[in-house]
Amino acid sequence: MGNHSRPKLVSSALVVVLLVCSALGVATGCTSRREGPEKKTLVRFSFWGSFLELKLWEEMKALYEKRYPDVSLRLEYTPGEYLRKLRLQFISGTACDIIMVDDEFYPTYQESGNLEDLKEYIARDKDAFNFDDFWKTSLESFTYKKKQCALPWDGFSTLMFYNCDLFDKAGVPYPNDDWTWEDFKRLAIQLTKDFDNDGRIDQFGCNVVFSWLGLESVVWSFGGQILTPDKKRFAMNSRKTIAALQYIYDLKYKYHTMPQAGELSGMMGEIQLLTGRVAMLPGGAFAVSTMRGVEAMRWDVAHMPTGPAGKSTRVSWDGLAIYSRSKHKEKAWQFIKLVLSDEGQRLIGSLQRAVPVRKSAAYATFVNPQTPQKEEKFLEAMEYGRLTPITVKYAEMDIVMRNELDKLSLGVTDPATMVRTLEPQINRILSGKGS
Amino acid sequence: MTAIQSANVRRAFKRNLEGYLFASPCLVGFLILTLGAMLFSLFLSFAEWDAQSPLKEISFVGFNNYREMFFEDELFYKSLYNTAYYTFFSVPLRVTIALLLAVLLNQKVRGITVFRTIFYLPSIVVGAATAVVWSWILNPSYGILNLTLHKINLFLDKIYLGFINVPEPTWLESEFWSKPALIIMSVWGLGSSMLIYLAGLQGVPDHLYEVADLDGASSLRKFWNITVPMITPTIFFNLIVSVIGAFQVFTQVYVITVGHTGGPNNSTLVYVLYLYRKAFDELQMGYACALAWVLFVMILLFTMLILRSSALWVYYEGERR
Repeated sequence: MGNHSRPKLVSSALVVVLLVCSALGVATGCTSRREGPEKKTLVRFSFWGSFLELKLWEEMKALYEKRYPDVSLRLEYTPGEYLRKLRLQFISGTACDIIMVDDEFYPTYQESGNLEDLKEYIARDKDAFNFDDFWKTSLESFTYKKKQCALPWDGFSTLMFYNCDLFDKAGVPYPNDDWTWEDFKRLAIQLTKDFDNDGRIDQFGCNVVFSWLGLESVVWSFGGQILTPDKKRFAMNSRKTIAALQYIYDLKYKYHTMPQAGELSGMMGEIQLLTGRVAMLPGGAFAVSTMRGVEAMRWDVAHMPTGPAGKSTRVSWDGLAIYSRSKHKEKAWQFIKLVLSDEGQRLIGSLQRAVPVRKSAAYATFVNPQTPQKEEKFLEAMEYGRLTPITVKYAEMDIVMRNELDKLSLGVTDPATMVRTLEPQINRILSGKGS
Repeated sequence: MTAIQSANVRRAFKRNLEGYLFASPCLVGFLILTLGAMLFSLFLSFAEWDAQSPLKEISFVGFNNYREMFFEDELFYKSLYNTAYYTFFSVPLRVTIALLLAVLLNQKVRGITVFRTIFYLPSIVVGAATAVVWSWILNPSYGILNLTLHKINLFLDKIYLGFINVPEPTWLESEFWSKPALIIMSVWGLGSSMLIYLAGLQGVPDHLYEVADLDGASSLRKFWNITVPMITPTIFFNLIVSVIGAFQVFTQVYVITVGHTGGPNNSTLVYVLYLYRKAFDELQMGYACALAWVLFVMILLFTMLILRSSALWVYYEGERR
């Protein structure tokens, strides 16, 4: 006994000391957090985006805190994997008070019960909003099963960006806004060049991403559809849709005006255009500020080419929502109102990162007469643009579509076969029987 | 009787108490964070849950997930195939190359520690960073690997051997070459196995080599008849660790493949990536848990198989034969 008692005593003491230390650590951690911003309410806001968005929200935060001095807004910026983080926050009950949501996943979020229905808030503050000033598709994006759990704040339409220098060098006139897909093909062929004749193409006429959202504009302008209007059945198995897909497929494999696998890897879309490797590229309004960053190159935008069914483009919206388990819903609502106010909207437009949801602010700020480009085309496109048919099954559908479009992009399947393979899979998902 | 017994128990408890106390952070951590999570995932594997609704919406579906996996899911088999392909090539390559490297680095040469450091360095670099570096090495248009291959082809042309054409694969953008690219990448990071071999090699007693020298054995013979048998326990350990690692490969594949989804055409969709996709893209947490348990059982079986086989080829000095 006597022999053992000493080290025993020492080790017991050590354990006690360690436990006390860790307890103290926890305690001090708690107090320091409590002491933070004195008596101000902490409101958290989660969003994604590039550093330009971060800049926007920092300015918005300053505006908000100036107007409501009792609130401290914490920006929780997630540059990548936002959706995954948000889902984990939903499960653990730690999502932010104000949540930025995208239209594609909105129904899924609403169904999960994590978003507050904003109908009552809107009814109460009717005078604060002039919904007639909102772009017509915007509110529809966040209305699902008669609930409105988010309000749109910005969005984009897709146009064709082109590198003017490459057009000049090839001696080809710039596209005009009445051009057709046939004109587009002709230009793409003229602008595809192998300068050093080594068998490798150095400059591609165009590049269209083989994705559901990327091909949608083409499919629509050929008169095709992704889903039936009631969004309950797959509708791509039609002659028009297949013709649209075949047209794009041929640009890549028959005329080789688009880079095939491995020919232009590791480069993001805008970079392909800026470095002169690609002459024409469809892109959203969000690409404007990136393009603006490079002064050495001249570029412009044109409306998407016209197809047999007319002109078409995709419009997409981002929304702001309130977390249903938030303790500061009123403060969150004040923030949303600020973002949607004339002042907030003008701030968004002036950074040219996206189109403000209020038309008046968009025309006043997003359009900049000082620049050589005509930004108003994005706003014109907002009028005729369409929304992706989004359902609560978007995520599952997207994966199946991606699998098959991946094969099409690699040239291991053809449009007609692809559409036939997709049909039963998508219909099964839409009917709720899982993938 | 009982009084003595209970006194004994009390004394034993007292004696062990501090041991338990010291181990408690680990024990509590294991019980709550590991065992608890494991049991929950086992439960989820028989259920359906979208990973974002409240827990009360979990619905029990019996063996449905497992049935779907084995009888309906083509991608399950494709991901198994991809993982098997990866394991089958990367493990033997890693095990042998690491051994050969360790033998080289076991030589008594000046500045050998510098070489050891150089070859171990890749293992210190985070997996994601390694993958980003490799994505540029493997880039078909600008990568240093294809540039070298292209230069070789040009040289062959020059010396009138143009008919020999070294392929210039598109690596991660080709269905055929994407897996070999991953395997090449995996071999690069074998520093830790190499280090273990090195320790094993230094444990081989010198007197065995001296005896062999007296008998006039060549260095190849010494390697084959002394070194290899003596370090079979090390090879055995590395084999098991590599197989388990290969079954669970994820980070590099996730970072390096286009769109992080195991493309092109799912040719790099390894098992754990598929699991991840199911859980966090398709929001089928129940199915993902079922996948995880199947993987667990598979790794368990393989490890047991290797353990069993060890009696045939692993030599332990202390063991009586």
